[in-house]
Amino acid sequence: MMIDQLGTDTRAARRARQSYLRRLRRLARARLSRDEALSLEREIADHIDAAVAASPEADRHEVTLAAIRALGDPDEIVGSADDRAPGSTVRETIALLLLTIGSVLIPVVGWLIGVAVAWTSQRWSRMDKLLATLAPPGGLAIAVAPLLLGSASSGGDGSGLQAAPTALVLLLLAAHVAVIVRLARAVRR
Amino acid sequence: MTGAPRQADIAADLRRATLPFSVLAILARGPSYGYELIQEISSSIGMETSEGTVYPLLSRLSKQRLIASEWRPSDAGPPRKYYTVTDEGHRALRDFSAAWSEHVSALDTVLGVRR
Repeated sequence: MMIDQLGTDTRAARRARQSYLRRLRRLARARLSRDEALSLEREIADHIDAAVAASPEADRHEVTLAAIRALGDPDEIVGSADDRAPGSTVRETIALLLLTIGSVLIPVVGWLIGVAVAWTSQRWSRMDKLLATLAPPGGLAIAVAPLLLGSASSGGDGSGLQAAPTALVLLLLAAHVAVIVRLARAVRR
Repeated sequence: MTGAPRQADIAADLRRATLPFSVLAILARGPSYGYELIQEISSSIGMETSEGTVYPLLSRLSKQRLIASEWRPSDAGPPRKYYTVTDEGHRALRDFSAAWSEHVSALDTVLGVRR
């Protein structure tokens, strides 16, 4: 019975550790350089393991939870590691405008300039910039919508295939909106 | 309306403000890794921030070249990152120590404290 309880506690402690480190990893990789994020993750994992290793096996669940509590919220840790200068957000604002409205008003060129400006940002992480580059530009969904929806209505046979172009347009728009929301949140941090 | 700060709050503010130099002082005694260092801070002067925020502080001190780090093999598991104070760090610590003594001495005079 006691061995069963020990096993349950050990599994619960492992889950708590993994969940905490997963959250830290997600935040760190979004806001810090790759090397900084990796180093922070390894050190925090080592911190928890060192605390657990110094305790009797029967107490490991409690010790893991206590170590996690004492370490604090991953958001606070990553925020304190994020030493990007507060202040001007002009570049990010211009990039966001070009990636959204700019890509509609000045097709292709507006989006290209937006991506170039995004890469000069000091506030966005490399992941943010990659997403800004790889995500479909806002103008693209609007530009392809008439083509895709037109072909669906003229060539459709009433089957489920008709829904595919609409779904594609919605997918493009959703991906664009998701990336823009992420970038806008990263500016406010 | 906020009242005058109490002794515990003043002590906490002082500990928080001097944490970088406390870290340097502890590391000046010998190389250490994150968990060990935090245990030492907690037992000697007390922690006023989340323990996790010591790691970003160590990263900042590294960027300022006041401490250096290296991954060393560990008996207990994967390699550990050990920190040591650089020559520049020792100089910064000496400067802080001198400025601190001078400031405390001046404050003692103003406050009428006799040692």
